[in-house]
Amino acid sequence: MIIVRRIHKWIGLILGLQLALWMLSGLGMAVLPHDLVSGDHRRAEHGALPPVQLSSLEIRDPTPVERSNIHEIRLNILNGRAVLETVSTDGASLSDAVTGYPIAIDETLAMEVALNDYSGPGAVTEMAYVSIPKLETRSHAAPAWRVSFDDPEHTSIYVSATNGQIQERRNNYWRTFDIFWMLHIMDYQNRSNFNHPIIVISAILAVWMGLSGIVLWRDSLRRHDFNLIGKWRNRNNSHTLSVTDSDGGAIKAVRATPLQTLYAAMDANGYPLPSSCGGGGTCGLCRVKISPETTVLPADRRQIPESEIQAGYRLACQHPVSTDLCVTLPHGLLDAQTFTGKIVSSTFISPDLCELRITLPEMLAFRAGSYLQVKIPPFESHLDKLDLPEFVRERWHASGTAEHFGTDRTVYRTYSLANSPGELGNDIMLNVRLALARPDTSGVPVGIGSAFLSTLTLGDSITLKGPFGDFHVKDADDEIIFIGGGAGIAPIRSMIQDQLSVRGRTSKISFWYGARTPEDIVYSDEFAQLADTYRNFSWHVALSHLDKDDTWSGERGLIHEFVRDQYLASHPDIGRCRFYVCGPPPMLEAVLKSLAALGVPEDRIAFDDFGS
Amino acid sequence: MIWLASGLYMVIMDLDFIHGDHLVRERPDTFMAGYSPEVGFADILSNYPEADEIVLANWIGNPVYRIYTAEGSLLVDAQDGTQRSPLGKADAIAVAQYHYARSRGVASATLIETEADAPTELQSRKLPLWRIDFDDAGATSFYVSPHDGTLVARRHTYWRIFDFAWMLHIMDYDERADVNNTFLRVAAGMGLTLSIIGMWLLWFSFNRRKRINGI
Repeated sequence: MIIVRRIHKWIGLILGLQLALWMLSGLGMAVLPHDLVSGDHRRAEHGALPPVQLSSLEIRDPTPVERSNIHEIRLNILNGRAVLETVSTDGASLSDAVTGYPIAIDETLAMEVALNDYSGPGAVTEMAYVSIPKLETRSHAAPAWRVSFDDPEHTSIYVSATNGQIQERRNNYWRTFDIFWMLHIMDYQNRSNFNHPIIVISAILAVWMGLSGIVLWRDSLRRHDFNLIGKWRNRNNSHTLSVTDSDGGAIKAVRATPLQTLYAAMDANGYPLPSSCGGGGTCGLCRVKISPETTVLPADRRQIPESEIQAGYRLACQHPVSTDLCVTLPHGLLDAQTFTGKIVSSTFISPDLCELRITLPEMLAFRAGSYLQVKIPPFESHLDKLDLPEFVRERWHASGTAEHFGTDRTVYRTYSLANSPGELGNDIMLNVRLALARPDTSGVPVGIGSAFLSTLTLGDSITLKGPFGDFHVKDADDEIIFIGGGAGIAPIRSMIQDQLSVRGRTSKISFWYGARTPEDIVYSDEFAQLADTYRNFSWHVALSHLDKDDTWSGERGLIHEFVRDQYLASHPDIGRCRFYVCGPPPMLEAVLKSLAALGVPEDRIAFDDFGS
Repeated sequence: MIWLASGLYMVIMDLDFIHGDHLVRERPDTFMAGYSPEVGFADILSNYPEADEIVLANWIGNPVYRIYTAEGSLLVDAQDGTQRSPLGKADAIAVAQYHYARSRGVASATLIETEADAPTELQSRKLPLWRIDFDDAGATSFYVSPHDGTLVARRHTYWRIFDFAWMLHIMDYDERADVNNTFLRVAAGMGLTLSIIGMWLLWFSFNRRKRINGI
């Protein structure tokens, strides 16, 4: 189902505009009155000229037929004269049926024909000879006279230059209709063919959209979604929400009306849950613990691991408040606050990782592993304006990342705290990875959060919100294994420092650090020193992107394979270890897969998902 | 969804095929140079003084005059001046077979005279008409005017599905022709609103969780 939803979204992105255009043009064609479009309202019921009876004239018989390619010979009245029209494979020719002389449809005659047909208030403003039919007479082959009138709708009557018959009556209603028609059938050139590949493909995709939409609708729909009457009746019966934090403390009771989702109810009561999708059930940030009995919705399944679903975690934005509920919030939410800090230092500690130190007005209380949301206000800047180390500037340049960047609306980006609680006094430390384009994505914009942070200089203010998060070391006495790398080093560093230096943990702790090259390893002196000081701590590095001739004497390879082969495969009691994993999405995925294959139970693994 | 499905049918079916071009044989139908009909325009006019328009043409291999008057049309033989219309069953079948491009036989021929008997596939065409059904896979029907002897309409299964799709598409379930009906206008307005809301929501749904440090 999630695949269907993804494809639905992407096709929607491609096709969305066309779907709206189909609707718009369809509506336009339905609204424009047909008799105005066809020009019938300006058509004289009886011509202005007196009717002529053919039989009152002395007709000269045209026979015998002169040429061999003649289809038919037509005797009728044109502007009060009896005429003979000879239709052949090459076109038509006209002659006077009484005198036998050929008739040419000249400007004067064409105007007479048009005036005889026209019944509106306009006068002729222009006569033009159209030798090759254009859009307005595209279904005709013969050249024509265009007779333009100055009425409000700009009527043009086309008189065939070969037989003097009216070809078309066009006006601005028709012209508008024709643009709608063009948009509808997607034939932008000739506006006539609706069997061409573009529209066939669009229509196939659109039908797929429709079908998958119905399927997804059923998937997302809940029975009470349409129970408006019931909701209306219950609008005044509020429910009680008993709010607890993840440690079971700070119980408060707040009221919620049944018309609200849990997310909205919490927000209305002053507990804004984190969210970046606006309540669409796609970001997963607003998950709270309710009760294992609560219905599991498809959105819950997509965003929350099975073990947590069974523990009663649900997405607050998806669940309406329909009974009294006990809500357990993610850790720290009740204490989460918005505060402003000032940049103290900004140092690149590896080619792409910048250590940012921010001083706060007072010490921030948080648990190691928590994260903050950084407010990125609207801004605009250019690489040339940034005060960056030369090697970063060069890398930016070489990567092909767009050098002009910015955002026109406020967004939030999330960064884990890299320091342990109390380690730096009032200061906090974030590790910001400068997100540049890869060789295969040249020209893409720079990651907006890191770009913004790199525009800040010492003393600049920054607005932060938090702390948030549930990525914390459990207090139990088990062996701890940290696996991570990249920007995921931040919460791991915080947790290791906290466990060893602050909490004095004595059980075995190991850290398996995956990096690409030797330059990417950060805090190596710190980890080395910790390993010297604490006998229960060890750390191991494996590098994945070394050149063959590199002089690196340590381990090579991917971290999930390294930790498995070197340690876990031969671990005597893997089921009693606790795993804390944090790193770039591919690494995280590989590690989780590898741990699952080793038979580590899900509830022994905690990870911080930096991806999707 | 009905718009999408009916629209899809209409765009994937080739329009010339729907029009039944494959069912009709190309007939050159021109006169030999020097041909002179026994009966001239002037003769016809004196016999039918109420004529507004007279056409000398080839009709299933014979020269004829089609005479159009305020009351209707007539078919007159150009060789001897005899009036051929209204056409009988045999003539109607002959017209249909003259144009029919395949070799299958005629299954039935019926004269449709009243609106009540007229199938919807005739739309607003003037009655009476001969309906000639062929014994082929597409359930082909040719409609022949008994007055001027022309092939007025050709219908087959895919045309009928196309017409049904068109009906669904324009939501005119009675006449299948009025694109200005209120029902369609309201539905199209709602459809437009929906698609705009859809695009707006899509924007949100791509705005997924951003938890990548530094992006």
